[in-house]
Amino acid sequence: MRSSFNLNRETKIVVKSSVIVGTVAVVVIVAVVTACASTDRPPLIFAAASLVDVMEEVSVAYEKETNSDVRFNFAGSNLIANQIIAGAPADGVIVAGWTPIDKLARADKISDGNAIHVLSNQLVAIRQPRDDRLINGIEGLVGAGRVAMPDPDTAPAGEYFQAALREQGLWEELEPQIIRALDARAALAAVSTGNVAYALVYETDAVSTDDVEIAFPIESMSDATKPKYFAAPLHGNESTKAFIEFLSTTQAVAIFERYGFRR
Amino acid sequence: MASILDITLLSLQSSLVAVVGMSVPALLVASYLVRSRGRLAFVIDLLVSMPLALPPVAVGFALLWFFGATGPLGSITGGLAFSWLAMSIASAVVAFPLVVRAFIAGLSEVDPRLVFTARNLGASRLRATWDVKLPLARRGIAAGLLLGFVRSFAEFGATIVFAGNIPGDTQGLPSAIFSRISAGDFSGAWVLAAVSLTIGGVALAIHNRLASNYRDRSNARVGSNG
Repeated sequence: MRSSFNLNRETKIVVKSSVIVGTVAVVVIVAVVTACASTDRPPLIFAAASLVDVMEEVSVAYEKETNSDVRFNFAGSNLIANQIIAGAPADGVIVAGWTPIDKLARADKISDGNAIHVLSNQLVAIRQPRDDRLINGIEGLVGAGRVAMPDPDTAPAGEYFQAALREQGLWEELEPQIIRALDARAALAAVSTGNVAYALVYETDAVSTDDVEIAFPIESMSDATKPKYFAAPLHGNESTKAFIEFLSTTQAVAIFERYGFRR
Repeated sequence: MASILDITLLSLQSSLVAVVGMSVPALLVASYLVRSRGRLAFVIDLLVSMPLALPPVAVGFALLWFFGATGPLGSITGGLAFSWLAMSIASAVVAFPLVVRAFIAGLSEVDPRLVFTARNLGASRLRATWDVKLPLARRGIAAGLLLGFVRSFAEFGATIVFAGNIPGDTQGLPSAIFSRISAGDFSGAWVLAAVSLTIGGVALAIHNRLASNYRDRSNARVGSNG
């Protein structure tokens, strides 16, 4: 199936045209980028995916109040930190847990002294409404089948659960039953779809659907295992400070509470 | 929140730009790989296929590094990441191997004697390609473009890392579905998924039609001009 003529010449032509196409592509890209860079855009805040709806509402309130705008990029908190370390153009972050803040501070993207605690959540265990075993404490889950929870190695929620379970001396016992889910939403879906009987999720996730019910709360014994969201401006992006300060106003807190978050 | 229509249009724009951008490079690579069996061809084939063997999230991070401020192209493309064009680039890189494969299948069915004859009759290389080779491979090429479109249209992993999930700017259907799920709004996610399935399904149906016609035709072909 190979043609017999002028292989070298054809190869040269291919190489030449590739170079031309490549050059044109780069020129187009540069033109577009220059065009994009010249417009003055509102600050871009990288925020935890669990905050999609609540931040939308908070930013509308902020805009009404101050006439300035913010944009969001939503993804998992650890992904956000890694994106910024890899050079993503964020102006500020709102993430779950201290790990992403610590990562960003180590990479000299933020100063951890500037990170403020904006929100808290509560850890709960959920089950299907039909479940009749009525387990009402975390000890009861030991030996009671598979338990879904966010992966402690990748999801801040999972880290909090791991810490809380360690605190109560139950992590080692429970670990063989644990199914590591992508995030709290995926752990919730494992229960709401009937694949797993129990899951450990945030309270805000648990109340968002009727397909599951809260079996019992998992109380944090120390402040360190109480789930928190932190916000921080990136170095040299003071423009986001006003928005981050707005997150502590009574107006913003009222919105957070409506979504089940706590101060 | 951006409307479903805006989100869909943004997805369409990003994947159409990806397909158009991919078409010429993919055609060049495919026509080279159809002709050549050397070590260089082997290496190029392997390099081009790499995205198939990588999780898209890793492709996204590679792009973020490559086009980022500290990467090789950083000084000229520093602002590219997290723009709508980044959506096209991320999804194009992921879809590129599929398009090249489909193009190779299309081009390799073209009888080289016909191109050779056109050249012997005095056609320039460009003319022989444009008037003989490409028309004979058109079904394979169209099938490749459609496959590339569908893959780009549904791309999530590389896109959310390199282009982000910025409502109104870089939030296409896949990342909007992710956001709806993250917000616990499963019915909203289903609506978006239905839109995505409809558009992708139509494109796939046309692709499958072309691909099956094309198989019938090449089975029937015995040295004819197809």
